[in-house]
Amino acid sequence: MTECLNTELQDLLPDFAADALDDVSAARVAAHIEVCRGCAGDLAVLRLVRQARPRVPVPDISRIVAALPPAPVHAAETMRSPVPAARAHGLQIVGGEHEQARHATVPPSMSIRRARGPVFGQSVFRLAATLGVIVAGGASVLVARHGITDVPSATTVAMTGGSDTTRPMAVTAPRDRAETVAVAAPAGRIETVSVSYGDLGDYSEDELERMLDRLEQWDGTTSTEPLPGVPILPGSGGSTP
Amino acid sequence: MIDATQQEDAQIDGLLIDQWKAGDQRAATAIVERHAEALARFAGRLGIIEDVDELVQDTFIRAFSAIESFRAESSFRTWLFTIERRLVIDRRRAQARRGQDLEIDDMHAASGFDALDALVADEAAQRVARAMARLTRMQRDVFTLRVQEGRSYKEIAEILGSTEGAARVHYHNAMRAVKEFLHD
Repeated sequence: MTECLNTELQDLLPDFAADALDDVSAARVAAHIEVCRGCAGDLAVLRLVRQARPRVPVPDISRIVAALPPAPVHAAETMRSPVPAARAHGLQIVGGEHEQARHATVPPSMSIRRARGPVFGQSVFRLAATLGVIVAGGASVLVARHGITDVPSATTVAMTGGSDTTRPMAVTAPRDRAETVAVAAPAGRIETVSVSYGDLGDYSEDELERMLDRLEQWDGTTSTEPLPGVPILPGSGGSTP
Repeated sequence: MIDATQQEDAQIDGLLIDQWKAGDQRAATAIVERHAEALARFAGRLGIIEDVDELVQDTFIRAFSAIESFRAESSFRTWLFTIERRLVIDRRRAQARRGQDLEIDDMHAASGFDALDALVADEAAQRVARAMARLTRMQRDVFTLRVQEGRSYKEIAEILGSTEGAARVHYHNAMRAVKEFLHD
């Protein structure tokens, strides 16, 4: 078979076989094939190769689309309005829905790695908070109301990001005696330092609003300052002795 | 090279990507419909027979997650092929670390191609498939991307992490080998 020396037109043969050339280029190739046996033979082989393209089952389109991250505008709207989402689903969802939306933007293999981030951040926060209290050298224990019990509160769980791997930090009073507790102790005498606001049902709408605002503003960065207590209004759920 | 189809494809992909960025989730469906089959076919060319759906899905997820980094310097499909090939390489490396013998070599590629051979109904086409199974992996990748997927040498170089000149040489060597096999 005669080898063609026109490399430019030779290069166009696969596109000609695929009908992917514009009219001018296609006409040039067609005219060349009429006089070049080598390129005519190559074109026959290329058409055969194209026919040999295996027919694979079409992947499940709906399943793929369902797994895709949300469109950026939708994602941005979700990120801008965490408070309504929290109100709609309760405090626990503040971290949960947010995390789900964020993780949905990465492939499954990557989401596992990213999911470790907040857990690590919480550990650092807890360690730093504990060290801060120790360094402050506080030897006093300030208990606003009554004794400490081991009942964790819903608010505390929300503050820890709802992570299964993070134990609730707070200790609170029994459900019928909601407390605001601030604790400081000498080094070695306390393992965890915590603040709790009691049961949510004990609080007024205004107090819950302020708590949500603070949660929204909280950037999760390390802080050595204990969380301040919520201002207590006479007669409100949180202040009732 | 003047390639009218690819220019048109690039325009359509660009529009769909812009629509998706503007919040139209239906544009994502259109994008997936346009490229899913080609990605499944390319997965077969890379020797992937099982979990093709999963591979195609991961390719789209990774692409959509990083869509801001797509600069349209190559076609969207070329970009998807590049992502898919990297996922396959990552997957094989992970399997190799676990002690599974799945190195990227010509024998494995050939066996994968043989499996696809069964999907080709026509006898003449099967003969072509056998001819292509004798090519080296690089020759076969270049040849199928050029002839069956219509990629330019520049795009092929990008997908395979090679150079345009090397892709051209592999194509011509593959073409010569296939012709020789078919004429025997």
